[in-house]
Amino acid sequence: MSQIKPYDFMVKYQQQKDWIDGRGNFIAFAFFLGGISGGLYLAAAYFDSLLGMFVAWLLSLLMGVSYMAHLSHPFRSWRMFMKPGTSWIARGFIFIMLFIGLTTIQLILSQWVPEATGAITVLKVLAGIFAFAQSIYTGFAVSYVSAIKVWNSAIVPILFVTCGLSGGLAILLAITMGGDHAQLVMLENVIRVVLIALAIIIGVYLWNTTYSSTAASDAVKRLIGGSLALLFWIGVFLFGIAIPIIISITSYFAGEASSGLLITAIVSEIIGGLALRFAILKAGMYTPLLPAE
Amino acid sequence: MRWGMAIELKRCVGCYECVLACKAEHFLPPDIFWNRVLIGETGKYPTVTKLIYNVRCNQCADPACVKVCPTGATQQREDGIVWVDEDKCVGCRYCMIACPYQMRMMYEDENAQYFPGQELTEHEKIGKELYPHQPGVVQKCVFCKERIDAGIEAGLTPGVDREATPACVISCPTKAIHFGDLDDPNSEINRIIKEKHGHPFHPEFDTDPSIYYID
Amino acid sequence: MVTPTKDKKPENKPVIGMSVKGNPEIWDDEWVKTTCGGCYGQCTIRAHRVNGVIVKINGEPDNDFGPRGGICAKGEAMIQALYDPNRYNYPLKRTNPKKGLFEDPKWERISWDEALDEIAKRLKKIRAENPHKLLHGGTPGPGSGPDLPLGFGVFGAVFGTKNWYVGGAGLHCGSGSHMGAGLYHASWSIVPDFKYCNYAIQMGSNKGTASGHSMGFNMRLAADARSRGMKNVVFDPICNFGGGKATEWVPILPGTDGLVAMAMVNIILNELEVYDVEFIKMKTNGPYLIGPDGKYVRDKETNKPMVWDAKDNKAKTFNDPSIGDFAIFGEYEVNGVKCHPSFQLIKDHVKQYTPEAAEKESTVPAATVRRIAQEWADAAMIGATIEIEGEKLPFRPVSAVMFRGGQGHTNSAQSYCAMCLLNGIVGAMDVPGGTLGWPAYVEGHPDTGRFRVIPYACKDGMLTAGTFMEHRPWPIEDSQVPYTFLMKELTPTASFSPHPVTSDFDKYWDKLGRPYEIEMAMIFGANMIRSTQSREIAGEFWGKIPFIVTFNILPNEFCEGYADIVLPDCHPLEAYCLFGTHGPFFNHPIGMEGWNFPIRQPVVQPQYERRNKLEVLWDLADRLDMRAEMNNYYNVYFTSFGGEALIGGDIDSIRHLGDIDPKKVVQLIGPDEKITYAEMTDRALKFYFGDEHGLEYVSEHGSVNWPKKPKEAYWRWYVDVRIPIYMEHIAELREDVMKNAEKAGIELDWEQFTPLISYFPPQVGKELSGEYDLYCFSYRDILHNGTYTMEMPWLDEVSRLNPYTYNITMNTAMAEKKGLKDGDLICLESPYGRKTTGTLKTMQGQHPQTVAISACSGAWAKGAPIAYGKGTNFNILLESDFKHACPVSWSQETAATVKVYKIDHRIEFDGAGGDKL
Ligand SMILES: Nc1nc2c(c(=O)[nH]1)N[C@H]1C(S)=C(S)[C@@H](COP(=O)(O)OP(=O)(O)OC[C@H]3O[C@@H](n4cnc5c(=O)[nH]c(N)nc54)[C@H](O)[C@@H]3O)O[C@H]1N2
Ligand SMILES: Nc1nc2c(c(=O)[nH]1)N[C@H]1C(S)=C(S)[C@@H](COP(=O)(O)OP(=O)(O)OC[C@H]3O[C@@H](n4cnc5c(=O)[nH]c(N)nc54)[C@H](O)[C@@H]3O)O[C@H]1N2
Ligand code: SF4
Ligand code: SF4
Ligand code: SF4
Ligand code: SF4
Ligand code: SF4
Ligand SMILES: [Mo]
Repeated sequence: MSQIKPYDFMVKYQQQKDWIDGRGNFIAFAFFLGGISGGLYLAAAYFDSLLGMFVAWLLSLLMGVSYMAHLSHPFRSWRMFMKPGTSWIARGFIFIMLFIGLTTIQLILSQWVPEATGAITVLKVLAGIFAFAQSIYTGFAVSYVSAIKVWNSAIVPILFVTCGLSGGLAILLAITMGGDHAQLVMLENVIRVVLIALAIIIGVYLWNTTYSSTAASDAVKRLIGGSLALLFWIGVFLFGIAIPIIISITSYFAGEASSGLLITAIVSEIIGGLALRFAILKAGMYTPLLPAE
Repeated sequence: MRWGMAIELKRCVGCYECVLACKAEHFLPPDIFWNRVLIGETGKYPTVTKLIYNVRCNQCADPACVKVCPTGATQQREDGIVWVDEDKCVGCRYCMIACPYQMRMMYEDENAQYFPGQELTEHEKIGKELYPHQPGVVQKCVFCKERIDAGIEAGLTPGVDREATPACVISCPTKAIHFGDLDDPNSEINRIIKEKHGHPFHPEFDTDPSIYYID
Repeated sequence: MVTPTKDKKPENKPVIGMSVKGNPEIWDDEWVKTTCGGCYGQCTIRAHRVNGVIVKINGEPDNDFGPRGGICAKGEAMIQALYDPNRYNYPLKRTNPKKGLFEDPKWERISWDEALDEIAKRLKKIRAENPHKLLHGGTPGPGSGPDLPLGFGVFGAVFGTKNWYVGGAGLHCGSGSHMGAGLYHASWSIVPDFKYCNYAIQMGSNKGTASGHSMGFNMRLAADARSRGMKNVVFDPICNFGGGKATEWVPILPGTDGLVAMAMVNIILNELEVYDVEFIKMKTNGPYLIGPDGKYVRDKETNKPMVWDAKDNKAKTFNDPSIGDFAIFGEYEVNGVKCHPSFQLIKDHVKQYTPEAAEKESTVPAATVRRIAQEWADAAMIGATIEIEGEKLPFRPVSAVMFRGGQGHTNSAQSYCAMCLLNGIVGAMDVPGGTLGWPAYVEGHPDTGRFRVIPYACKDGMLTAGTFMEHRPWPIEDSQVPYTFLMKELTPTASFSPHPVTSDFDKYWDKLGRPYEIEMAMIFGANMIRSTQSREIAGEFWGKIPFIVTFNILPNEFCEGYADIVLPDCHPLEAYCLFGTHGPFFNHPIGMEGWNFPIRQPVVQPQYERRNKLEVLWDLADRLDMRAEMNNYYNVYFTSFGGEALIGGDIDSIRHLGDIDPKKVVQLIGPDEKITYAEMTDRALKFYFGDEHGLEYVSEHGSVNWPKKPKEAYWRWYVDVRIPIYMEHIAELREDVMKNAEKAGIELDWEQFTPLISYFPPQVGKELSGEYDLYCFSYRDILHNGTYTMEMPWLDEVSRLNPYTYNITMNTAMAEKKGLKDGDLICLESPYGRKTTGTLKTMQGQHPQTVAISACSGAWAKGAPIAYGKGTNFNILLESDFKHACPVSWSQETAATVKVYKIDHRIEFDGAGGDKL
């Protein structure tokens, strides 16, 4: 499908390329980073991991950088605040900026003025909201596109948030690994739930999308049995779900997981999250304007 | 006022002149197309129907592209024309993603030439003066707004006077494309759309196109 | 036209009608009216020049000579040919002595004087020895077709050579159609009267949808007709252009149209029995009595053909004013022989062509043939009349036309005439709604009466064209033992000849004792190696000619491989051209469209050392001391063509120069005058249209326009002429042709020299076998004209956007059966071992037994980098010899049988020297 001939333009199902090819790669990264940054911040705030929140802040900055890299006129990026009324990208940009801004202050306070608990809590709540917003908007940006049927689903934002959360939790796990055992166990428990939820959401999403339109079901077919199958089954399923779940379930029964295994699970989880963004973006297909064969 | 087109498919022979008229009019760089001719077929041998659709931005009344644009670079004029302010566009491509008709393009390679590796032609050179294109921004059909504006200023009527009418419309050898004001109930174009049962291309995309097709 | 310069700035007008961004300085903003040189449609255009550069081309909205404001993509892209950095800018000389398909000429720039001196030196010698040793010719197509006769035709005729060779046209174009259209319509080609026609049949032609003559205004008129609801049945192996816009596409096997047409004639004459009796009696040779020898029964005294007066019950000469009623049926005895009106013979003869028999060969279902015949007969409305501008005229709103595809086979002449018969039997010829020739009847400009061309009756009362390109189809000339390299004089029914670019030419020339050899060729435009069949055979011929001069604007395969000197011509946007056409019968607007006489003029001045080819020829004439003769020729040409008609003005005139009363020749150019082309244009315009319509006027207005009268548009019943639906002249010719052919050792399918229009299976069908199981043919793309337009980047871009232009197409199911799929690189191989390759695109709309290649692509010239390697060259597959020629019209077989298989690379580019493909 990606070797679509020039004369097949909108005469056959056509893969979207603007958000995947070349510079478009940075969009997938940005979405991924936005997701885990948001997830990580929420988790870190909950578990009160300053390091976690700091890493979330870093990841969010990285997301901004990735976004800039995608733009052909990054110096004009200030203009992207102009239309939050209708544009999810504008909204997202505002969310990111606010998140970064709020977190910056919160981190400074937490580190150097830890006694300002009231302010810190307020900031945490606010930053948490924007962390969530930053994470979920990536899903809305995609699901808003009614032209691409496989994206145009209310499940996508949930999927992106969940995926971001699982990634964030994984990173938090890595950060906490040497530390408090009880916290670790709790984290692992949460991760287990989130992973299972993620698997279910992906299932529901694919199932649901298959029945939404021909273009969408075609996209799903490409994901699970076509040209994107490798990316989907190995990237999303194996790395993103299977390996982490297997590790966390074995660790559950074993009661104790080796740090090697945990690291594998974490890395695997992150690869999976990235693969999911790529898979979904790549699966984006336009419906031909002429009746296709 | 809302400019629109009515395209009589029976007349169109798929000569691509509308595409070249636009390329010449706007000195479009290689591989940039503001309009296209889509060709396909339906049916099975020997009962076959060849399909030829000349398409361009539909100047939708409810445009997906305008809504998603974070910068406001993509905007809609009072007369319905959707255009991109090159100085505002950051190149996020969201509008390209969002247009269900895929009628937007990104101009990237500013060194692209029609005769690669040879000198620029005089035509290309003068084009850079008369109708410069900024690299890294999104382009699309603008319904030849410069022709319309200058024409109206000179007292001409778009759709009636050639000088004030889009280039692809006046260049069509089969006169397949009509142009006019959709808001004016007495306009020629509204009469044609009504009499010949014009319908938008893929109304299910829900953008309320200003271009009507007549089978 | 003076180009303003920055310092001579015209008043600052606001810019309208152009998209301008920002505020650039504009010191030159001019729309120049001229004609397009993209094809020989020669549409009128307006070119927009801004700051000395042509930025846009529009169709001319104010006259009928084109799409009235519209234009085709090729016309728009002419800008890119004008500014192509690969253009020839200086005279060039070949330094690589080797010639061949892929040889690099290693051009060296020389001066004009050097070039012309060298050419003149050789021409002088040849003219002294035997002028026939010069072969000249070129393209009638792109650029300035009309300059071909006015420039090269005149030059060659004055020089004294009869070896006049018309590029790829000879092999593919309309040999059978020009003959047939000339005989039946006094015209170069035919077209439905789109304005009034209700039912149009096309057999292998894309008129009105992609190609055909006067493509420009035909697209416009055909669109009106479709939108009005005209029914349009297209017989074609492919459902692309004509078929794609038809109300009914009927897939047919190549070369079998004649049979389908005959079956329809049969149904109409013998089953439905609806035919236009009046037309047959008054306008055809249907009543002429035919003796047992197949020839007319002639009056002993006057030698005129006889008819049977059914009222007086006796035989009379055909134009005896006392005839009460022409018998078209029955058997009579005249001059002691049993004879029949030819119509009776035709009616009986066609009985053998049953729809069932037609189905077997053509694959068109018998029921379809029957239905279409019935619909056609109904739609013909025999007897109906219509009033147009106060004139009551017969109304026959049906039309059948054929061109390149249907008649490009070894049965060309007979197939074309079979199709014409369909129009003839219902009287749908040059009447409203019927089949029209390009205007053959012009009463002349209202002020001067000049530019007057009137068809008339001559020998046997048959229709004779007022003017024609090359020789006239009627009266038929005598057959002669071949003495030109083209050998066409053997068979005067042929319009074009494939010889001498054939594999069997030498055999015949040897037999004739090789009277002389070609020592030099002068070619204008034309891609004599890529647009003609079999580049191997062609290469062999051209490679042997010691000295070849070409006039071109852009590198092509012929120039690179074979030319010794290339002279840089002006692009049409830099040139004057007087005649938008050689004659109105060639590309003037049809039907009630107005009369227009446009000229071409430079929109920008020629750059570098490019020169107008006509002025170059005159320079050569000076060097050969033949300028005075040429000047005189022009005087004859202008005064005889559309002037004080002495003989019909055409190239042929020169051959009968002696017949012309010198007193009637107007001296437009004095013998010693050395005028410019612009000056000649001015004088000719004033001569034709009066002093106030000189160059100055036409420069500003683009053309001289005046209204057409219904009598001119629909002249058939205003001129007392008949047409040969029984081709007695062919029976007459047969013995002489056979006799003369024998002297050259030529064997043709003599069976086809039959006066009763018949179907003969095409050679391509005979070559079909289990292994070579598919027919391969080519068809024009709307985006390209010949080989020339492939070099224009805009056209290249859109060609890539089109699923068919650059691909080889095949029916989807057949491809599947052969294990092939979209995008496969495939090889087509003919039974003669000729191979060509390309990319497959499957389609439903194609006859399963065929493979099709669009246009004339597959360029290998290194000087044309945009075209290089794009598409597939179909012509490689064709054979060139008498076995593959129609014996009557000499049209070549333009379809081949092939086998198809996958291949790993483009073999026909091995050795081309460009990129490996
Ligand atoms: N495969 C295939 N081959 C075909 C046909 C087909 O249907 N299929 N059709 C055949 C027919 S009907 C015809 S008529 C022939 C036509 O074949 P040609 O007459 O050979 O036409 P082109 O190949 O376009 O070559 C025209 C040449 O003229 C040059 N030229 C253009 N403008 C000018 C000008 O103003 N001045 C000069 N001096 N040169 C100019 C161009 O550069 C080009 O080299 O092709 C035949 N060949
Ligand atoms: N765009 C464009 N216009 C042109 C030209 C050009 O090169 N390009 N060239 C000009 C010239 S030189 C000429 S001669 C005219 C030619 O004009 P046309 O005669 O219209 O030539 P083609 O377009 O080649 O159309 C031939 C059609 O016949 C079909 N065909 C092939 N074999 C058979 C057959 O045996 N039976 C039937 N029924 N169909 C068959 C082909 O599929 C094709 O659709 O066009 C002129 N106009
Ligand atoms: S210019 Fe007219 S006929 Fe040609 S493709 Fe465009 S709409 Fe169709
Ligand atoms: S067609 Fe596409 S680009 Fe044009 S207005 Fe509609 S949504 Fe926007
Ligand atoms: S690419 Fe430009 S025009 Fe399109 S949405 Fe982004 S900023 Fe707006
Ligand atoms: S309306 Fe103007 S800008 Fe739009 S496609 Fe036509 S020529 Fe191009
Ligand atoms: S039809 Fe021929 S003459 Fe007319 S615009 Fe096209 S290329 Fe030019
Ligand atoms: Mo031709």
